[in-house]
Amino acid sequence: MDNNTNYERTRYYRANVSSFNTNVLHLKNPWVPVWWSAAFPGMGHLMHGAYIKGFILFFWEFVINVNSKINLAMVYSFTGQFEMAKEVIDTRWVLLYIPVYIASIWDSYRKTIDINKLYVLARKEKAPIVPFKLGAMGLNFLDRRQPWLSLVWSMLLPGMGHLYLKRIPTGFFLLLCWTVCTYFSNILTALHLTLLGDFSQATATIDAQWALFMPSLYGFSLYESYSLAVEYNKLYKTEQAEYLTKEYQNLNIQLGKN
Amino acid sequence: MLVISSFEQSDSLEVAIANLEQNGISKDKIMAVPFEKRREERKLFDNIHRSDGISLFDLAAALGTACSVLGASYGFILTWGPIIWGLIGFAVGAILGLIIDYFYTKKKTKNRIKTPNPFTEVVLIIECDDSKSELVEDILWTNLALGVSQVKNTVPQQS
Repeated sequence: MDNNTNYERTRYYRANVSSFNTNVLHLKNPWVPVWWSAAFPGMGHLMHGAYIKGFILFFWEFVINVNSKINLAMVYSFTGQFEMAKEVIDTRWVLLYIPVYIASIWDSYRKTIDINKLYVLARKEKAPIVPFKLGAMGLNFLDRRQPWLSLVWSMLLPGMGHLYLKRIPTGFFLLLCWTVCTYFSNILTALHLTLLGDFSQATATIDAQWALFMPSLYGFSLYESYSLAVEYNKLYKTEQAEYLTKEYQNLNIQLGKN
Repeated sequence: MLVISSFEQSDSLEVAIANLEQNGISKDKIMAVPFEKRREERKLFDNIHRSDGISLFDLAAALGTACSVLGASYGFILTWGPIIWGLIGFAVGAILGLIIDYFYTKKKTKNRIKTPNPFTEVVLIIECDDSKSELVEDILWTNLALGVSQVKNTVPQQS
């Protein structure tokens, strides 16, 4: 049975529940996607549920940044070793980075404004929200989740919070990115040495180019899994309230009538 | 008679209604009244009972990430190395962001009336025969009703 036919009779709708993901319109402060796009191109687009754009921008960021050694140059610049910074930057690649970086920030700002307007229209149209989807390969339904639990899962391993929320594309994608960065940055070896107190060896082990991707991935997965849990809770309550109002308000109480 | 109960919004509420209908309470004898948004004081963190989305987390995550990048970078020339300084950067940035957001939100919500925060989100009213009231009450309680009460309708009804 396909309960998605609802969408065909409406112009704007608030949420799409598919068997592997829930995509929802909600109001955002445009500066929040702007910030995350600046931290890592593509993150703003993942927040909007614009996955194709987001994934490709992520891929772009990894390829261009790794080849032009931007992260490495950042470390040298922050620590005052400007000559080293100039030396490591690969001029065959680096200028490609700038326009796409700025465009992704700008695009996520513009898109937030548009989506906020569409949200207002969709909320007014009040198209029925489909709360449940059972597909051949997956199962998804709206329900209430603990935002802090989603945060804790993301803290343990980025991507897990999203999987708890059944936001499958973002969840596995963050997990993949995190795994790749963990491997190439040698961060676990360095963590081991840090815990043993061998700080100089730990510093020498880390590959700064890959390690510097990780704070953005970490911060984003924490933030988004928390705020999505909140939005999904709101969506659940809205859907249920509308259903109850539509179906269960026909009681004719005759208290006190003679 | 009327059985009146209050619920938090959850799947249990829908199970309760389905159970009632299976036990012969027809749909037009059941009334569910979901409450509109209450005026609530903005809270520091959302939870499963109450998610207003105005949590103090935007700036904490943003500053945490930014300071973590800086901390990890400086870590390469500091004694403790990039991991510890990266984590310190994250903590400092997040706490800083939380503090700024806290005072900003507090200023914005200062003039709101403080209201208690009850969990009731839906009131469910069922009209049934006296003989069925026990059964109805039982179904409501087993499906996590927050409170259940019976109102005996002594006034004769028009029918």
